[in-house]
Amino acid sequence: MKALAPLGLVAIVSLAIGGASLAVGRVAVRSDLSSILLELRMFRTLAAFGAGAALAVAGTLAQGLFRNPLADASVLGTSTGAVLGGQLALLALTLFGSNAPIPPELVLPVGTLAGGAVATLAVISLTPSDEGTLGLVLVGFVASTVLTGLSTTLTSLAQESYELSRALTAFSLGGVSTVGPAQLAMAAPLVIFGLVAAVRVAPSLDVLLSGEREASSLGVQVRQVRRYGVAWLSVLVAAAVSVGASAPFVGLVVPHALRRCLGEAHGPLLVASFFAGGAFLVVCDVLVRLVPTPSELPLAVVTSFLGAPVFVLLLRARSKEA
Amino acid sequence: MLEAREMCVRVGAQQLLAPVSFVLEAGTVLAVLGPSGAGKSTLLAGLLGLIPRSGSVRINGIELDALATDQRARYVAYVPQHTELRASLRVREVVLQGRYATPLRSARDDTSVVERCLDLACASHLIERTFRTLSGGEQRRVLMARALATGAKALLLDEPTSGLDVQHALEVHGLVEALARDGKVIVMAEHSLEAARRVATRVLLLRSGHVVADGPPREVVTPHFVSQVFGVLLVEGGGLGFELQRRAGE
Repeated sequence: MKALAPLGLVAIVSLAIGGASLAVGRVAVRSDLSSILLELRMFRTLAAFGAGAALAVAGTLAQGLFRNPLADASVLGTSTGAVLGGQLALLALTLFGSNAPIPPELVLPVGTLAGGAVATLAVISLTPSDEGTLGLVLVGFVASTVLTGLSTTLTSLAQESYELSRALTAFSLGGVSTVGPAQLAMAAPLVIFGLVAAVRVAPSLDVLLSGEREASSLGVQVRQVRRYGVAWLSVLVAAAVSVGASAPFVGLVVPHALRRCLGEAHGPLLVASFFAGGAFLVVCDVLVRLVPTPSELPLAVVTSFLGAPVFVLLLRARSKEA
Repeated sequence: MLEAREMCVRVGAQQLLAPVSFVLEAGTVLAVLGPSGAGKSTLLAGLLGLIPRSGSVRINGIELDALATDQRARYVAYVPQHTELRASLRVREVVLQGRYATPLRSARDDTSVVERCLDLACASHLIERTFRTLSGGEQRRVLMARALATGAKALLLDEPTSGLDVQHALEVHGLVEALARDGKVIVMAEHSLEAARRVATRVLLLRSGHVVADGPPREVVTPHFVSQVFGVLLVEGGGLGFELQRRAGE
């Protein structure tokens, strides 16, 4: 429980900080507006926590599945697929408006989940069955590149519509300021089930540290574990993007930092990644609100500025130990 | 009992291992000898089912192909020549990997088995060390402890003394003999003819994927076969003999 205290503190800070003061009794804010602001910040805090938790667990899972310390959620093209799916959903919302077949607030989450799922399935089906992990990573890299190109093309074609172009760009850069209860309700179960599913496969990931051949000789069904892990990794990433956060470095930095304290066993690492990743992204979102810019900085900018130097420091500390 | 019947390994049109058959009773140490590329590691991988093969492999009458991966791990264990393990795992955690396929485990049983297997492998003092900081010989003994932790009746060892100094090599051979006396079936791929003559009860001599000779060491490791397979002359009594020094107090 003591370990969760910092998380509680981060949450309180996140609820307290924003563009408007919540102080009741002052001239500018009435008590009903104060409640609304608190509610909006609560959604925002929950979205940042959920997305950070999902990305960190997905990163830990990717590093275990691919035995590559540089693997993260983007390795299979899932995050770029989810972003493209979200952008297509925004386009659909613009074209169809309230005539969309599903409630407008669900269009974006459904789009990101569908985009992430299609990208992952495409990568898996395009990877030759006798290629191992390396084949999957290579095809994932190609898919990621192609999907990023499609996303950029879409944004460029939308230049004529200022609002749409702005929305597409903002979505690809990430941000949790506009997340509502419907999106949270869709994403939350995916994040929690994703954690449970990842912890279930943790013993197999521990044995996979010895390589596929040795793991197979020790009883690990390597192909099944990989398929299972890839599927849940995709669910976690798509859930994070559905609440507007394709924040880079979360899935890299958080597991690496935790390994220095907890070791390599995946069970405790996954659970700790869940909480630490959530707290990390909430902190990043607080910083987004604190930085005095005309409009909010994209979340990806903050996670990159924070995450990249931390990652370099972790790598240097690791090589010194080696 | 470990039995291979017409076990053959092919990749496309190329035959890596011609059909090989043998029956190994409990307590047998089979040394698979041959020059590099003869098919020694291929034979081990085929026995384990790690590569596609034809023919049949049975242990105690049970067809290994009919077993799920985790079930197979409880019958046949493998010690690689080179491990891919690079993570900072403790020795205790590495040996615990051998318990992965064990059903209905408890933490207490895990601890007891890990300690017992490390003791058998003369590696108890390494239990809290980080695996990747160990020497080659120490790592090899830890991997053997891991294989023992599976509880498998058959152990497949890929060049178990490769890269080890004389003392560590003798310790590994001592362990192999002890395990065989305990009723295990050991199949070890070996480069060293001297090791095969010292430890093995049976030798399978391979060249280019074909069995050249199969039988007791004194019938296989002979000038005729050594010359035919390795292209060298075997000088009887021409090698150095080694024994482990007894430590003070033993």
